Amino acid sequence: MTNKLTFIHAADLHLDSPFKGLANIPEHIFSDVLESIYGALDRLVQAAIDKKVDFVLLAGDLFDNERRSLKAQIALRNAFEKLKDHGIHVYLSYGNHDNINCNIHPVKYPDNVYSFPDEQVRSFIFQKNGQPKAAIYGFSYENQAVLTNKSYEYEVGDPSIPFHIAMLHGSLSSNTEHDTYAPFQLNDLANKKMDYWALGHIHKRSILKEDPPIVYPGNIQGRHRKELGEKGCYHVVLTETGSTLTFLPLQSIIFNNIILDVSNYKSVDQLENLLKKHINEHLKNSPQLIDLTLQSKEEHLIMQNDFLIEDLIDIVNDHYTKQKNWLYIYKINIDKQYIHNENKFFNNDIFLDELTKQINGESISSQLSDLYQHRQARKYLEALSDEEQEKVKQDAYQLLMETLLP
Amino acid sequence: MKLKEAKIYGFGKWVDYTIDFSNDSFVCVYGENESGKSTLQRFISFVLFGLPPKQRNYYVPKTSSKMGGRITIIDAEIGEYVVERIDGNRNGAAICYTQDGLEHDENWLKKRLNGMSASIYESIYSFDAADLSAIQMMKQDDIGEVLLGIGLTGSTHIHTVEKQLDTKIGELFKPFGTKPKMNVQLKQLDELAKDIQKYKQEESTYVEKTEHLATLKSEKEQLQTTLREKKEIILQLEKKLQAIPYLRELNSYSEQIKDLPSDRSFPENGLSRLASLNEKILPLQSEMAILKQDDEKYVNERTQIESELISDSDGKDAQKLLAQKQTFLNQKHQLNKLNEEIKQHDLKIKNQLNNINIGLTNAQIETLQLPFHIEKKWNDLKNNQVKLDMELEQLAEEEQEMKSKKAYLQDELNKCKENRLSVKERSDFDEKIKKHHETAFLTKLDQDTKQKRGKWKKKQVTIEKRSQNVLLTSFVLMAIFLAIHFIANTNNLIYVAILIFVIGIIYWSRGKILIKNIDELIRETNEGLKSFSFTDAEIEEANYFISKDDDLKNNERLIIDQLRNIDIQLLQFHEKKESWSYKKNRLQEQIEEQYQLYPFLREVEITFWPELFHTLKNLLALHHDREDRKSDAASLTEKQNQFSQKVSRLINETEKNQSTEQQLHFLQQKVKAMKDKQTRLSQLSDLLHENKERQQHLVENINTYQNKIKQLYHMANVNDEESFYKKANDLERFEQLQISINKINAQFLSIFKSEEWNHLIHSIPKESVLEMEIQNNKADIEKIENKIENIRQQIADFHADLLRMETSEDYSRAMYQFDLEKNKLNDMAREWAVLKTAKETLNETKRCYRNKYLNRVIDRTTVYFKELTGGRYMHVYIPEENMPFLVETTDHIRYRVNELSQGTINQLYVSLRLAISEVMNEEKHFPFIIDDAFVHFDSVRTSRILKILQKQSSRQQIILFTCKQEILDCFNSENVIELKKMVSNV
Repeated sequence: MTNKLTFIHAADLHLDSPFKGLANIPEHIFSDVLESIYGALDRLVQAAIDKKVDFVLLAGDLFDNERRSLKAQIALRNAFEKLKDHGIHVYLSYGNHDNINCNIHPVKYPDNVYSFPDEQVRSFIFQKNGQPKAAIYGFSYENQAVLTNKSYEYEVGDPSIPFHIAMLHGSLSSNTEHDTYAPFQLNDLANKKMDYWALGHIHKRSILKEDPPIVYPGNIQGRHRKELGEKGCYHVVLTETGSTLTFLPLQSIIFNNIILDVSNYKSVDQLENLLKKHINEHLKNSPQLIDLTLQSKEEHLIMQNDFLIEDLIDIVNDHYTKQKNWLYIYKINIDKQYIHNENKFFNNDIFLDELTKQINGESISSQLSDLYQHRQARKYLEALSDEEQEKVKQDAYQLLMETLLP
Repeated sequence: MKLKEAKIYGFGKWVDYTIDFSNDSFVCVYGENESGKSTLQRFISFVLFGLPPKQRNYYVPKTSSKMGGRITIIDAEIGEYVVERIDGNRNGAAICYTQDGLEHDENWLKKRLNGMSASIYESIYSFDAADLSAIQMMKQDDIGEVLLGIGLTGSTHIHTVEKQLDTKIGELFKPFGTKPKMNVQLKQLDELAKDIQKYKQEESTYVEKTEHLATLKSEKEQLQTTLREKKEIILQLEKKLQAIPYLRELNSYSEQIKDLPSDRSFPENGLSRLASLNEKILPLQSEMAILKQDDEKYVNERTQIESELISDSDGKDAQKLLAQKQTFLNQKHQLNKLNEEIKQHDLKIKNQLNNINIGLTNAQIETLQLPFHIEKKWNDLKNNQVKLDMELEQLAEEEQEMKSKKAYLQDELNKCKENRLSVKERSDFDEKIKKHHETAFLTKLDQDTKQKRGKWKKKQVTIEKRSQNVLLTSFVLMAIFLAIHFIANTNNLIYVAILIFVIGIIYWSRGKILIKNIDELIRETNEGLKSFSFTDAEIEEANYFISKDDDLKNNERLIIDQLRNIDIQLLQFHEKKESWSYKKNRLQEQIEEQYQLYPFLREVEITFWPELFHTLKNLLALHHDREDRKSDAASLTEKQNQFSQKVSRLINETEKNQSTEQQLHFLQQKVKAMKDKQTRLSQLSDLLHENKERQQHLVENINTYQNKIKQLYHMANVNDEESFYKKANDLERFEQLQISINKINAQFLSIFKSEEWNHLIHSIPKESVLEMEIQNNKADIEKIENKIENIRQQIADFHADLLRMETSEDYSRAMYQFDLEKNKLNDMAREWAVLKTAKETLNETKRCYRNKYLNRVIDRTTVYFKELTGGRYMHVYIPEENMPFLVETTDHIRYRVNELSQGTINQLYVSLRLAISEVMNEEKHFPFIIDDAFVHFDSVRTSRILKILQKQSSRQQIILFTCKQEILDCFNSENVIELKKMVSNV
């Protein structure tokens, strides 16, 4: 029992980072969204206290530098102070989003917090009952990017210390989905004789390797439709013989995507029942923000009238937002698959043939320059990706077809 | 494709109606207004393309419940088939029957119709005067576009769509607009961004403010230190100021000490020691005085008591008398007891006297004497009396009995005498019997006599005995009484003795007489006997009579005997009676004698005398008792009186009237008082002795203390108490001064350092100088305090500000708000992008489409237009950019379409429609339906267009609806379907 180490591993808090895709949401949901990350932070602290862990590891990206608010920093400081009250240490490194040089308003943290000061891999020794218990290795981003493979710099120091834990904010060099910072190879890490690799940067939770554990805990609160499901941290128990990892959900709000085939639901009542049934089956212990896609192979009354669907969503939202663990459909996509099916009936229409040819033709970016290159608007607009452009084209085509065809 | 036949089951005003189009491909349907031409066109459209339910309802026939019908179509590819559509069947879906007998559904029909819809069909293959007139109503600039629109999709729809798209795009965003949604949103975002910038700016001051706060705090610390120093200075100055009066006081004390004498030898605690010695002596002295007083008092008392004792001489006598007091009291008690007893005796005697109630008085008792024999005498008298009485009674009884017996027997005798045989008879019988019975009778009689003799003998003996006894007794008694008489020397007893003796003699003599009588009786009875005998019968008879007579005679005799006995008895009785009388008399004499002696006995019956004797004897005993006691009492009384006299001699005159007991009591008191005095006397001498001893002791003690006091004086170098106290006062004064000095020193040495204080003592500072310094320092302090207050306020403000910043959610909230709004903008941008893309695509499609098809359409249009206008116009140009259609006359003059006359425009329109339908439908040749489109055409043009149509009908079926007779006239009759006529047929 003497050689047992318990800690919590979290990363990518991204305090006060934006929620994408939310536009028209009711005030109280907006408030919940606003507070969601802080709720998750509170739960993180509480989990550490409840589990009586030795320390907490935060592997980078605690904030988004470009929008680091005082509130976020104070909240973090208060969280650290609460941990201090319970004698829990905090080891943190700064990542690409909260790199040291861009932190213009640092708030002083209590003395139970140990942060890696620069890009040099260093170590802190965690002592318990006057005995060195663990060495924690890591570095912080001084600037917005670290492009070298930092894994080479990690070396186990004093071998008499029972546990060695490495913190690294970066991604596998093979991962091209995200900005690849501090790229590493899995084998590089596995061969370093560390007892645990506490990774950060990738928001999707994943255990890259079991022995030794090489772990992305993911972020603690989803922020958009791609950060789905439960989010949280890992409660880690290390012994000389092995490790136990338990995922602790911390999120305040769950993002969820629902896709429903409504081909056979031709009345509003039917559709409402289907929707509620589906939602009821997927209610969770946290509030949920839902991206809903309705697919239909049949053109029926509902499909022809977008406002009916909008009304329905309003009703459903009204129904579910009043609950404690509310559920809110923040986005509705209608996939009218039948339109493509019916194209063949119009092959006599030379104009529509021509239209189909046109839509599949050139890039639309030049056509959209009025807006996207607009002096005022471009500050706030995100450039459309190719994928998105394609979707816009499809939507435009769908729109034209619907409006042109009587 | 041709329409062959239309069969209407019911549609609008048409019910069960059939039209046959099969005659020609160019058909004129004639009907006047309201004849149902338009309804027929709708019917065709309905069967081929269907109608929405609402529109179907509109065409439900009023006279039939069945709505629908069928159209037979001739198709170039598959030949003839029938399309049937009935409202209510399959929800208005069509069903098609081909010649091979198969049934097909709506989709099949759609395919056959090339996906054509009613609206497209109508926009391409049918037009009417309204379409033309609509052109006229339009703005001239739009005409080209409208015409193009017709050409492109067969309707004005694209144009509408474009307009809608434009509107929507315009509503969303205008590059230079302010009102469109996105422009508004942009503005809002700008403002939010400004806010954020502001918040960010503010938050950036956090660190700065924190640092500033720290600076302020340290500044405040410094100022506070200075303030404390200044206050300390003031405090020191004020202390000095306060010390000045004390310094002066110190000086004066020092002066006073100098004035006091320098000799300060004085015993330790001298005053209190002296005081305590004095305190100790004082009670001793006062005790001494008290003792002396007591001494005097005791001596006086002793003298007085002694003199008193000498004067008192009666004391011893009194003491002696008192010694006899108890005897006196006992005697007295005894006396009382005796008197009491005497009284009781008196009472008893009196009571008893009363009880016996014989008139005996107390006085008589005193003289009464009862000799001892009296009792006996009374007893005998009583007994005799009783005996006599009893005898008397017995005698009377006997007498009575005898008399009654005698009377009875006399009576019986008489009876017997009557019944008796005569004497003769009797004698006869007697003779007979006499002899017989004589013996037996005599024997028996003899026996009886013998018996009787025995009895008498016995009686004789008894009487003899008794009389002897009486005689003996009387002797004895006489002897006794004589003896008593001689002993007691009383006269009376001798008589009694004689009397008794006499009585005894008498009794004895009488007994002798009785015995003689009895002897005679015995002899009488002793007589001889005789005997007789007779026959039995005689005897028996005689016996009978004799027995009978004998019985009677016997009875008689018996009775006589008895009578004789009774007479004898009577004699005896008289004797007895005489004897009794004698006795009685004798007794009476004796009684009288007693009466003489004791007269009171008369009152008492003799029978009670013995009891009386006892009572009297008791009384006498009581009396004697009483007398004894009386004599005792008298002697006691004498003794008492003697004692009383002795006592009263010793008593004062005043007390002489009191009883002897009280007098004794007084005496006792006197004696006690005397004894008390003697006791007191001995006590006093003890006290006096003790007093002396204590006085001696006190004097010793007092001397000791006085020696000690003298020692004290010596130590103080003084001779008397006065100077001792003065010296003590001086010393006290010195000490007080010293204490005051020390007090002040102590008080200020805790405030000042010793050198500082010494310095102050030697040179006292001036008050005015000190006050000036204090004022200056106070002014400084006020300034510093103001500064501190200012800084404190600033710190508080900063704190509040920092706290506000720390707890503020403004920035965070604003950022989220900004994100939200940005998301909204992006959403709108996307919407805009879709619309914009749609619009651009539409434009592009239009352009391409034009390039591809429009030239051909225009070529054909030119042909038709040239023909319609009789070659007046030789060319039609596609509208360019902002230009409408242009037409060129034969003389090469170009006109814009809006410059043409209405009729020409109509012709151009028709030409265009014909051209489009031709170009667009190279494969499928749908029937062309024209509904009185040529109302504005003159007859030449009408005939021209009809010619063109005629020609056209070789390619596609043309159905022309008209209400104009002149048009009708242009057709062969077989190509004409007159609706009016047919209606009437129905």
